[in-house]
Amino acid sequence: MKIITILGIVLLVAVSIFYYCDVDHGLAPLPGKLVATVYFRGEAPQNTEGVYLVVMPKFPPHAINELYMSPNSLPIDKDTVVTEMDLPFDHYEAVSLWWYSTETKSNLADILALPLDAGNNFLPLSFDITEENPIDTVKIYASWTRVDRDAAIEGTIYFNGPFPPNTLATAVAAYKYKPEENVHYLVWLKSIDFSIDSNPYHYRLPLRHGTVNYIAVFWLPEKANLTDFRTLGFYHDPDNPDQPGKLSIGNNETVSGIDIYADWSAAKP
Amino acid sequence: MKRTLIFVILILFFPALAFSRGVIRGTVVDAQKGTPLPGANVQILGTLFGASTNLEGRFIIENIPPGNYDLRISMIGYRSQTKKNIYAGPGKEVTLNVKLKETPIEFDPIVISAGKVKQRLDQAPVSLSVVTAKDIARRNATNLIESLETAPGVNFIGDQINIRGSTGYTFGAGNKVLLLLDGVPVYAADTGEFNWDMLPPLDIEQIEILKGAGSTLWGASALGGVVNVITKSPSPEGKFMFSSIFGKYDHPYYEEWYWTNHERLFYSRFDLSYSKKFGPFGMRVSAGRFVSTGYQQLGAFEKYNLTGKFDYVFANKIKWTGYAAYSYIDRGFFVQWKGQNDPYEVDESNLDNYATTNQLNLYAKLAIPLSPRFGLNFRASMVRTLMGNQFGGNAGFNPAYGEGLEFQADWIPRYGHMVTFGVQYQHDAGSNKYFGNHRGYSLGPFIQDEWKLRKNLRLTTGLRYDRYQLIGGLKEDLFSPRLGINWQPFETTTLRASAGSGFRAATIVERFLELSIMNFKIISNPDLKAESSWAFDVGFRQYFTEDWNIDVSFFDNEYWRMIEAHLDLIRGQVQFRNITRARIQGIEATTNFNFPFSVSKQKFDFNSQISITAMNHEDLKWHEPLTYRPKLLATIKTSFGWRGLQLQVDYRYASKIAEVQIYPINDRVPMKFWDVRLSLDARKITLQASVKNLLQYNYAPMESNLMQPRTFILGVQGNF
Repeated sequence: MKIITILGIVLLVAVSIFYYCDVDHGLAPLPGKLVATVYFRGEAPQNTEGVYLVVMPKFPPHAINELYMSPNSLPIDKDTVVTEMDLPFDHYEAVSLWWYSTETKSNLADILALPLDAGNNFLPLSFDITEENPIDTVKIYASWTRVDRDAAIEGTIYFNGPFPPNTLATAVAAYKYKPEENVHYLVWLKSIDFSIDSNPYHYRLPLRHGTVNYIAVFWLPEKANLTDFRTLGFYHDPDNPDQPGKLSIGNNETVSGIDIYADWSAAKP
Repeated sequence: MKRTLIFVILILFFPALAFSRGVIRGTVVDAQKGTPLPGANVQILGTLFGASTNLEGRFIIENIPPGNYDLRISMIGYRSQTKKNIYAGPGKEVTLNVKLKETPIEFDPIVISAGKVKQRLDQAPVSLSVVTAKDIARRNATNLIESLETAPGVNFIGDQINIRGSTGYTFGAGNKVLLLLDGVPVYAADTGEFNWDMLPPLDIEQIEILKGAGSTLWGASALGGVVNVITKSPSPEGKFMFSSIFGKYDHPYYEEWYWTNHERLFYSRFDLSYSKKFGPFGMRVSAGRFVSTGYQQLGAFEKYNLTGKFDYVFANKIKWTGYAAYSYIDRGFFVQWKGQNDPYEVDESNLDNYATTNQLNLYAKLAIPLSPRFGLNFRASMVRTLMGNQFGGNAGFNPAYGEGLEFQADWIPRYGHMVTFGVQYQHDAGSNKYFGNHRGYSLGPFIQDEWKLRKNLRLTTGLRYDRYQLIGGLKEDLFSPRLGINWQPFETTTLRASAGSGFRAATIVERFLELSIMNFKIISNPDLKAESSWAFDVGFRQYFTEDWNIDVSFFDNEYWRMIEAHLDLIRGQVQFRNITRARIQGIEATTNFNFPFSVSKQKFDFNSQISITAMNHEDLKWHEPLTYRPKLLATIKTSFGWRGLQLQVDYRYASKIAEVQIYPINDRVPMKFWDVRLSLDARKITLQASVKNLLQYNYAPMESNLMQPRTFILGVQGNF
């Protein structure tokens, strides 16, 4: 009887400890939330697979997986969509919409919308989720034309040697304006193709018609940041070889002969 | 000349023809009750000789060459005994009466994984842990994972076993640990995955976990360790066993996470087994059913097992063993949660992720004791795996076949010197529309020499050569040497050191899979090279008292061309690649103690096992931690017994995983699980009530996958 009493007391103490002490329960629900109202403009391209809400703690992100992405696509058959994303308390440097195509692989140029802050030098719109302000709201205006690539440029890239063994990716990209700062590599991007893997390489870069002021070949070493591009060469203006070539491309037009000479010496750190 | 040759062969392999022999016979009984112990194992250490006790607890070992021998008498649940310097000689018959004492903890069991022959754990040159049938029953384990998860230095990431940080998480394809069933490899030929549900816990006699590379003896895939599951042999007396386990999942800790009617979430497992020897023929058959609603969406499954183990001992002691296991699994695949605020749900687009798996394992072994000092072993095996309707549609999967043949010879040229040599052949084939039709084979001759240099000093050397050939593809030649020393300066102290290498050729899936899944494209890498490793291990084991020991080991595992999944997030691609170099170094300490005491004439038993494994792992090219590996593992298992009543508390800890691949910004926490159990032994029935994850700790070993919430379990096991 004495033994059972001792055992009972031990059990009672153990149960009390477990139930009344402040114990660690590990992972918990995220306490904050971003409510985004998305206004779509125009018609979604035929090759649209989906659109995802993306929130970036850092902009530009170090890698694509270092951002929060909605688990499923927003409805793409409506003009206005209200969506939410659960987030931890933190400061976030950008919010955007990411477009997925049925035809191509994920592409840095597939940012459908990236709200910019006019009051902050047109840098991406940042926001904070805090204990005092756990829910924030944002309006995103998304024009489908940004990802509706109805034109193309093509040419040949010539490299002056073999690809370095630490190559993560080699890309050709077209920009609305020449990037001057790190963030511009994503903000002014019209189209990019990371599939360059031979020398010489014939490329065809689909893009939205309009003006292109800078076309360049980039190289990314292993473990590099997303915007840590090393410029190997760019398309030169035939009339002014020191300057980047500019193009004005019409709807459904393909501009050929945009050849670029890439120099590996520019890839050195 | 011909006559001389025959004579030499006879002398060499059949020394019994040249010398007279001795006989050792005896009985083994329970020390307290005096009742005979059928099925106890009697082993003459350092020889191929041994016997099991019959229904009356009697054993007999005949035809023993003259000499002094140490006899080891062991039985699960009892403290082993060694009878030293027993002399067996011409015309001499030794009779032994052995009384074994019951013990809740196995202190020094007999193992075979260290050297492919039976030996005492404290005489092995490598680090080994053992999980016994008693441990498995105590945990109410429903599968092999639950049987292994508290073993020192072991943790699981999803379904992938990680011994001292070797494996990490490779998305189910390829595993740096080799799983053996009675010494026979049982990985799926195409993916290299294990089916942890392939045999019911009721069938398991003992699980041995060899830490570090073991390719010299066990061949490909034994890169970071070997798990050898020893199944129960047919029982001398007719034995009927059953086990019934019912588990009820509690509500999630946070109300926000409620997603269904949680009152209805449960699992149940029922197993039956019958075992008996009929003269020279023995059989053991079992059947099991395991069903669950799961604790999350797509967690439901239905699993069935059918296993049979048969043996036949011919008049000349030649023993045939046959084994067959069939497993059917119909289950959902929870790839990742919908979000951290809906962790038990999946995105609607994934709700069709169901698959059926059929697996058949077969092996046949023939053990031919040509003489007391020379024996031959042959083995043929097959693993057939069929992944069914993967992810909803008819995905065109075909069965994958892995076939193996092995020849092994054990030769004892003189007392204390044992040579094991043989050759192993393995053929793997798999085909489906995602990776095409591929076949490969490996052929590996091996030799190991274990030499007792002095009474207390053993030296083990070994070498294996493997030729791996992918039909129509690359060809690789691999050498796996091994060296080990075991020194017992005092009877209670063991010092050991070993260096061994391991290798693993990439599986068919790792090389050739091409598949698009959830915005990612898996691309092939036909040029993937075999990964290899060197494992260095230095350790000591000290017995302070008969009931208390400590085992400490320092390890350094070096990897070359380590195969890891590489996520190319820019292009949305996953590819298996060779990492140039990696290193895992660490220290592991385990202590076992049993503390019996009395209060008011009542006898109590308190026993515990505490283990800590601290590791530093590094990708030496980028000087980063390896992915999906904790740096600290700890386990505390304690039990408090009074008469037939036992209270057990287990704690499992794994530090926060420093590096993951897919979502590095997601929350990560260390693992902290408490499990408690109460069991009552009432004659032939054991009743158990337990709670797993008592404190409702929410832990994700890999991104977006929570482990189970608190679970209440009732179990009953019977032995007739």
